[in-house]
Amino acid sequence: MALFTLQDISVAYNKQNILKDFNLEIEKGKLVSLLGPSGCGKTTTLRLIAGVLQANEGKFLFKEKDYTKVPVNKRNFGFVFQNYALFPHLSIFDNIAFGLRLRKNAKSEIEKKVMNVLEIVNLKGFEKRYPQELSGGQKQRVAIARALVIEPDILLFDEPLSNLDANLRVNMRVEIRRIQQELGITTVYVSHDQEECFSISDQVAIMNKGIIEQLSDPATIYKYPETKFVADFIGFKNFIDFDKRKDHDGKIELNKSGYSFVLHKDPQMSNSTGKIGGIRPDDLLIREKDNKGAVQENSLPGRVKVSTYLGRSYQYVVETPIGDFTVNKEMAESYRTGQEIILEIPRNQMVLVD
Amino acid sequence: MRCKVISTVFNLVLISLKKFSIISWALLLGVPAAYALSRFDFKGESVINAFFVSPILIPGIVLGFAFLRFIVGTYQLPIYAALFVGHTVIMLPFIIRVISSSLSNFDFSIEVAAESLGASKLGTFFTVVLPNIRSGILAAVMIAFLESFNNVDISVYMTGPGVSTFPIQMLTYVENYFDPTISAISVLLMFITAFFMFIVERLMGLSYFTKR
Repeated sequence: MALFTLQDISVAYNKQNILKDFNLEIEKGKLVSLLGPSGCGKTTTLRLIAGVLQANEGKFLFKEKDYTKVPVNKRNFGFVFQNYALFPHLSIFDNIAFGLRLRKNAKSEIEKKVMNVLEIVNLKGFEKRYPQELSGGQKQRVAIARALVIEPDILLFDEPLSNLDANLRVNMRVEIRRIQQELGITTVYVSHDQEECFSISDQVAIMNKGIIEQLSDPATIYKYPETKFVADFIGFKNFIDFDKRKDHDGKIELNKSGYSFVLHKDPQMSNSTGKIGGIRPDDLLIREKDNKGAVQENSLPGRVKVSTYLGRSYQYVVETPIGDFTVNKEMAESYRTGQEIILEIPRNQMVLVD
Repeated sequence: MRCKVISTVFNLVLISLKKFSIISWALLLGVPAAYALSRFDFKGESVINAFFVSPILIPGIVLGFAFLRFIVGTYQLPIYAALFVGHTVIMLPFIIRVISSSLSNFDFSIEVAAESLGASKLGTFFTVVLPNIRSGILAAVMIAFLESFNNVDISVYMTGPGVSTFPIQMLTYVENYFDPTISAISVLLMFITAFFMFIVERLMGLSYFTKR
């Protein structure tokens, strides 16, 4: 059963729709991320759940009660900000105790809870310091502790790691996942970092222009994107707009300008009409042109147009009769710019989307 | 002679007290105004901003005369009330400017943080916003005090029989007598100012005034 539901929500700002007929259901105890490019409405959705923002239309249901008009301070949701938003005039202890004092907890109770939560976020011994004496990662831990200590019904993260450096980001996201799972707290996590979202979420909602393009578990999204936007967003950089698609038992025949391709029919691939094929640069095979002349199955003749060095591999842009392809290929062999090559699309590496 | 000096000093203390009551009134107006101007974006914001700053731009003599003619004259205000209104108006620009600048360094997302933890809007203002602009308010009080204390051009229109301000008292004294009393008081004033600045420096550092 869903813990909370956004129902037909519309939000407009300056007569521009940010969210339109938006629906989202989140189950108890799950970590759901909203992922998308900037301006896709993910932060708006989060602020709507928090109650900072009011929807023009639609309903917000929490435990099946109408929460649409409930103000922020009556919602008991924890919010963790990108810029930490700690109270600079209060010590770490007082920062974390802020919510408890408003809830009229007894002094001994407050002390116990604050110390307990400091232990959860690994910041024991920091309670007398002030926010400006802490590093970015420590500040974010305090912010998480401050949100956790009020035992919120939902924990909301607004790009919490984007101000931290790369190494710390990886550590912190593991930390966030650990805390979330330890406490079993329902969490909504907003980010534009695909790796971050995929690594910690139970479910990922990929958003674009105010709608959810796909909501699923990370593995499914990674393997079976449903729309071209999702495919593009998660790294399917090459697209072929096929002229014809013909489904058979166990395989799909595709045709583009006289070149035909055959794919394995994967029963999990839900899209049964899409004619746009997407493939990742890593999955394309590239090999030297052999002089046999005959074009083999799923292969395309091409010419290396640009070659760039990525460290672990080379990236080639290959020109073919049906468009340009980006291919990654390990160091072992390299191709010159202008060299004639053959591109091969493996039978099971292409997805079909609308 | 001696009596004059004592009464002048007594006046100084009395006027200081009155001045602080004006300052608190000006703060009551200025803090919310500065808050609204920094926190929200609304139509006519720049017009309102310009309106609050305008008392600095209009020559004091003109402003004082306008007050005399249109406020004191029209509403028959008693002298104290007139001084009260006039000084509030000349303090406001300084209070609003200084507090606005300390609010411009204030991250308003901590307001949302406080609210998400259960604080009401009003509670958030007192527990989170005010403590963080404390030094700005102190600076505003100091500057407003000095501005109002030094003011002659507006006060001269507002004062009347039996009621005067300290600089006007000094002015009159210099016109009528020729003795070192004024020099002595001036030195005293310098000490007072230095003392004030010392306190400000101890509290938040004088760089506060120069860096913003």
